Amino acid sequence: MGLDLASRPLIDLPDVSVHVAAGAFGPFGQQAQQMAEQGFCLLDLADDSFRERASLIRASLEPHFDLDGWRKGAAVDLRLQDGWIQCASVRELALHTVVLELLRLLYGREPFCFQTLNFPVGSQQHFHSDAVHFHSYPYGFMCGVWMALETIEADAGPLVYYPGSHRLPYRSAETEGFRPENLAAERHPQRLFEPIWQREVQQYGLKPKTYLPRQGEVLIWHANLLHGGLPVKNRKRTRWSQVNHFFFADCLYTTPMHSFEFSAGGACLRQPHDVATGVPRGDSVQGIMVPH
Amino acid sequence: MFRRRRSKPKYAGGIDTITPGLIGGWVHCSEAPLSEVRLLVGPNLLAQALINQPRLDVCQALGIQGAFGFLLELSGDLPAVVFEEAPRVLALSVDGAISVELAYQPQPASTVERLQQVLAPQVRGALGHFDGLSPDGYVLHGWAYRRGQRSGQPIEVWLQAADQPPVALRCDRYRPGMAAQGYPEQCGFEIELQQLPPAWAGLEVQVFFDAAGQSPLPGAGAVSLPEADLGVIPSPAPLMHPASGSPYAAQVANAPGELQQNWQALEQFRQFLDGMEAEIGRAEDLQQRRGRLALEANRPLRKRDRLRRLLGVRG
Repeated sequence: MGLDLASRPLIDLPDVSVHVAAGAFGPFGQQAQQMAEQGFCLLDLADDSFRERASLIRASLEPHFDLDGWRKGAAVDLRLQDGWIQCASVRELALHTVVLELLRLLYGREPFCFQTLNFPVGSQQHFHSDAVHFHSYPYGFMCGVWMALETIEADAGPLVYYPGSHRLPYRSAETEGFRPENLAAERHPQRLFEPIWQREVQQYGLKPKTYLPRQGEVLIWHANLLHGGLPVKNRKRTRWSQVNHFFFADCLYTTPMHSFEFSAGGACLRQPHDVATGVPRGDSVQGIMVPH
Repeated sequence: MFRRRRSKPKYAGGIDTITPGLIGGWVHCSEAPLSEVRLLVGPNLLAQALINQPRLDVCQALGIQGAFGFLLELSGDLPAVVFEEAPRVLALSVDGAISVELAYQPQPASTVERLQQVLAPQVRGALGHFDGLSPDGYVLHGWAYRRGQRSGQPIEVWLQAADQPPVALRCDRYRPGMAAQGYPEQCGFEIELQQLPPAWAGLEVQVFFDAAGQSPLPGAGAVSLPEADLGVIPSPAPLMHPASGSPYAAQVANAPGELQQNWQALEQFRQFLDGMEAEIGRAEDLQQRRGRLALEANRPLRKRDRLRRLLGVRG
């Protein structure tokens, strides 16, 4: 099976409105339009099934987090990556059929979840574009799905995002002229990109929006939408959430933060795991050589 | 049961342009209309385009009507990887039942090699044009950029001459009119002949997208440098300006804006004529040196002086 490196996501096409008007996105026309124009869209998945899974996730994962230490001000990392391996409910939410159907229609390719992140409290992460951490070729076949496992309060360090920022240029170590030694010298390489995003937000007058969802509400962000976590003002508050990162079929998958120009090592290709099958989608790199 | 072996479809055409940014050509099949071309590397689709470009030359030559040309755009966004399998350009019918592999028409045997050269990650997606020598004969110039190029990150092209190390040319000069075509305006390159090493005098030079000299820029092709010492070729004269101290600078500076504009236009035209004269002189000089053509001993006077008088231009 070959890769299709020639087509773009449907929501990134210049004539997406025509497709919306023609009903190409089925029941998700509004989401398609919003995704195209603002770089995010909303879904409400709240039902008994969702609530039950949210409860199971909290019960299952809470013992893994040092919430007491956090409340006392300790610098503890409260995130769990790929909890789907140990918690069936995480996996079930990651593979929610409504989300998969929506993504299939919005992008025009088969989506697959390759990573989950679970947070019991606000991440407080500087705003960033996911497309620096993981991206695809052709561009844009990646997105994040943020699920509220509880109703989020304003002082809990809610999600913040910049509508319209998905149209900013995609960034990578290559585009910014970073060398491998620059990345190696920085413990959190995302910091190298943060001044760029700050400058762009100022330059284009992008305004942040805070997301205060009820349990079961979902925000889906475009690969390049700037988003982050506001500071947690009340450490007694939890902010239980789950982020599911998706790629789409028949692409090359890369880590742009570690992708350099050819003479400096070339692209950093990924072989992402498919959460549905548990196996890597590694066939995509056959016949493709990187100079690393 | 014997399966009937499908005969190779009869078609005419192929690829006639292969550059790092664009692959162009035409194709016509008498059995069924071909609708699309695809660039594949192994099983991977890199680019596709419709066969819908008008090619009057093809229609006239074959006595047919339609749009049989294609232009495959190569993206500069592809990650820096090497595709190890052989690239192919296929033309397909609407239903995919007919598929023909297209060859580079000038040299069919070199098709794969040429496609591999333009797909190299260092050059992929680059567009450009080598204009050759400027009309005054002092400067080699042209333009180039890469699709997806960010502002402030110009590409380099390479001036090559036989047995000489290539000279990198940075494509960051202002080039008027490029924006109107959707290109960045800061994509021009130029080099004065006097900046070239003396050993380059009399050599043929060409500009390439790559330092290895495999992918030439379309345009002027190989240009012969004058055999004179390149170091003594003067720099191009700067455009005169009313404040530059010419005899009538004060008059021009005090003139209405419209007159100043006219003066500027005439000044540019004068420089253009100077350039033309220099170019003619250079070409004649080359011809003389090579002994290809015996020039007339007494060339008639040029009309330039009469033209200058008509335009009221001095100097």
